Amino acid sequence: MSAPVMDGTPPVSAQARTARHEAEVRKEMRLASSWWSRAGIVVFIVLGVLIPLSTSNALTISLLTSGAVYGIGAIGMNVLNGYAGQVSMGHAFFVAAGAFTAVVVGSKWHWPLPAWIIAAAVVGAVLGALVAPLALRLQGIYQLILTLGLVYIGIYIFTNWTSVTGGDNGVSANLPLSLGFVNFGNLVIGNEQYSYSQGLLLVSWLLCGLCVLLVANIMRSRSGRAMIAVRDAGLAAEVAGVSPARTKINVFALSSALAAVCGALLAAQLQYVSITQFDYTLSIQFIVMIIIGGVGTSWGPVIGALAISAIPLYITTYAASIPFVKSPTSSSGGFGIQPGQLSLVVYGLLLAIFLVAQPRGLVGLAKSIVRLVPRGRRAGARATG
Amino acid sequence: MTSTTTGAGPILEVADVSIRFGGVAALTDVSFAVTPGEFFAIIGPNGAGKSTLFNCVTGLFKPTGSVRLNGTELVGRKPWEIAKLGLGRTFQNLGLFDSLSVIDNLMVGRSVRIGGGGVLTGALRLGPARKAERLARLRCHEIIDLLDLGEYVYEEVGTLAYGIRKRVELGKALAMDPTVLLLDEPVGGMNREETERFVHYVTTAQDELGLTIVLIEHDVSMVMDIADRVLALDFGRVIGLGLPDEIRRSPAVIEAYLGVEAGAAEKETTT
Amino acid sequence: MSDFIQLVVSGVALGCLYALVALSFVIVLRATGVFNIVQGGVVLFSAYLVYNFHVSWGLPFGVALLLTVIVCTAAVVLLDRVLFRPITRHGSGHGQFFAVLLVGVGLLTVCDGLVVAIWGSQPLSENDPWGLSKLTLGSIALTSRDLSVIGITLVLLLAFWYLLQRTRIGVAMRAVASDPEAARVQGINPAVVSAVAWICATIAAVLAGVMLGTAVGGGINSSIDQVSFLALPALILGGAGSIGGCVLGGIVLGVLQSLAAGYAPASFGSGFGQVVPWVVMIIILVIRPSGLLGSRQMRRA
Repeated sequence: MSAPVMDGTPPVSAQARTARHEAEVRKEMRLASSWWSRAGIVVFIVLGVLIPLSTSNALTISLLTSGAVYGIGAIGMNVLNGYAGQVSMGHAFFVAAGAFTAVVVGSKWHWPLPAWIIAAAVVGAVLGALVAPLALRLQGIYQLILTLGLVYIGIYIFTNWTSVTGGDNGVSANLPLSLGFVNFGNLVIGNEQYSYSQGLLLVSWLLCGLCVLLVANIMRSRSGRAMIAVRDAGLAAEVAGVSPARTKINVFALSSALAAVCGALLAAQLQYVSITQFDYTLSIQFIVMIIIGGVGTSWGPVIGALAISAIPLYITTYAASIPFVKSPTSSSGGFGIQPGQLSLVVYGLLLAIFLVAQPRGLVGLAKSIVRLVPRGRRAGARATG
Repeated sequence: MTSTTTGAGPILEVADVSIRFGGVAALTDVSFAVTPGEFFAIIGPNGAGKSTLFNCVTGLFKPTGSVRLNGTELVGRKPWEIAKLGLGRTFQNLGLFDSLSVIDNLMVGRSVRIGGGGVLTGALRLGPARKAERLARLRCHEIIDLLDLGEYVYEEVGTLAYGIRKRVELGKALAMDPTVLLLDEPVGGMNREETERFVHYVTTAQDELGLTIVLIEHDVSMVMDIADRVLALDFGRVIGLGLPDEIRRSPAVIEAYLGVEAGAAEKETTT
Repeated sequence: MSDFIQLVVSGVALGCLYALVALSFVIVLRATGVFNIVQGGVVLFSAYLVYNFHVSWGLPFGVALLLTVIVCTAAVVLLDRVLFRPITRHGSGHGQFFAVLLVGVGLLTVCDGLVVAIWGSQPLSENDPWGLSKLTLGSIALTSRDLSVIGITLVLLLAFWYLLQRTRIGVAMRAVASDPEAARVQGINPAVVSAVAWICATIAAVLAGVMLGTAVGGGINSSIDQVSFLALPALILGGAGSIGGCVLGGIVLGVLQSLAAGYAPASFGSGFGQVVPWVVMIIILVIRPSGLLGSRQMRRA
């Protein structure tokens, strides 16, 4: 890499230029370049630690845990679809793989937290890398159908692999949350004893934040730029030195690893895993999450996951007061929509509304609102939040 | 216009390159050699096969024949391997990554020169990766300054005007630190002033970076002033190779552009 | 040997059903340019509607069928006008395709929910005209339902072929499918073409749904639309929206599924037959990415 050639202009100018470049580069390399994304990170960490330790409301804990867990899966979907421009209905397959891996490593072998999380991630990544060459032979609806096939093949394999999965009956899962000398499943701080679900909430949120960080780093690095480049102009990327095959394998491996971690945490949260939980509707939920949250943004997937998790929880809790909806405890006769199906209906409606009115999702909505507020000092045009 | 003849062999050698699509022969026995540091132009009417030639050289098509860069055979290699060997290229219809910023577009080009492209290294941003990225960004900023793109650094390329996009395309190719730079009709759609500015950028870059440039251009007059040598194609065949003045007067070339009668008229005036 | 023939025949019948569903997807895809999953819901709903008209209201089977076709077609055309066309106008390309797909899935679940809400979640029996009667040729027993399915499908395919090749509206549909802009310039009204396409697609879907719901098919239950998903591999197998291709693909997959279910050892577990179409689809894709009859341009941009 050669220094700029000086062509007779005074040295000061070139030095000043280099100094300016260095300053710009330093700013570019920083993770959070705008004040509110830095603030957001702080708020996230603070809340992520405080909330689990201060509330024991089962609904809140369940909602926030789901938000974090599905958020990780949604981040994976966002990488695949939002950044790399691929479509896939196969996400549920990788979630299932991660869940069952976690059950084997964590629940059967009783290995500690990092072990079953990493095991799930590795299994997901390997499966994703294997599937990638196939899934990428087609575009659009055909790619979708192919990846849908993955879900059904996965269902067949997992249903019949009863030693691991318990077939249709599923397996119960009791996953340890031990990390070194700290056991999050059984936290004791001072005089307070915290429940497993509180510990899991803490772990989930920290992992979720970690995933957001990792993906943000990746998208700012060579491999992330390659993903977007291949999506935007494949041929130009090739002649610029990017191998589309390797890039796409990276994309699938990464998104599948994230899906698998999501599955592992789901197993921990629900303490029960059955293949019936992982059908195509789960894949669709992830797509809905990223669209509602904001495609191609850092936090959009998590926000979308929170929104989508909230819906079935609140429907189930307040089913009695919504017309035409059967509460889960009532008999099967009479007229009424099952709460689970109502959720899907709501997703469909939200989707239609967002796709027409606010294609940039909730994050886009927030950004528009922020832009409306006049400011003396504009934060940098490039925001990571 | 620089012309450094260092005495070493040709930097790019094309020998008997031919390719057919269906029943149509797009290129037939095209041969030429480019010397290091040269400004080499390829002209010819529409459909002559100029872009096809570039596609063959950069590995997007696989022709018969041989293409050597510094002695290394390119035919049969993948485009990204060829890029790593030092061949940079722009597209006539612009191969830009519209959702990325200007600096990020250049960084994609630069990725040929920085190591550590895996997902894990990207995620973890450890020491050596950070250093490599920092150096790469510095270099891209230099190129941005060179091309007067300073005010657009963080703009999304998809939102920029056509002329600016053309410059970003050039910058992306320059960021690859190529030994040979292939430019495919880089001034198409530009007016006189923009063209002159662009040519100035190209020649400045060539001087500063010691590049060899191969330029496809439809506008013959623009090329005559700046090129060291010119190759003329028509219907996929070489119809002339030599100094600009020779090509300008060659009956075959004039005929190709203007038709048979003009060629005959020219023949009469030059004898 | 007779087992084999029986399996093949019922496989062909099953394949015809897949072909019909795949056809209904492909017709709309080629006429509107966007894939719509909503026909899966039509398949489901039509089975229940026919039950309602024929069994609950006591109308003759043919009349019930006709009524169902009319009701479903009207509903689908209405949805197209009110929901899908506005969405495709707003978005573009990628987003548009997703939007239509996901709204379609939403509608599908509304359908699921409605069906269970109105008719309960117990499987219903259709009282179909061909019942469980069999036709015996030597040692081979073929259900008349299977034969009827094959027969009806053939008739329908012939009718479609005639429509597409010999009528003006058919030519218009093919024009729109290959180049919408040029067709519009020629004065072909895309709304009309779209409506006709939806009608054809709905007829195919209704027939598929009705036949899926027959007593031999397991009765009418709310998972019929899942079966319609099994028609999707036929789309890929047949290649980029080629109508002949998806019909052929459907039949091939139906036969393979039937044979697989019939001959698979117990160690293969449950659901093997149903996973075979997907596996075959993947194998074909590895070998020949453009499908059985598709053109190469579908493969990569």
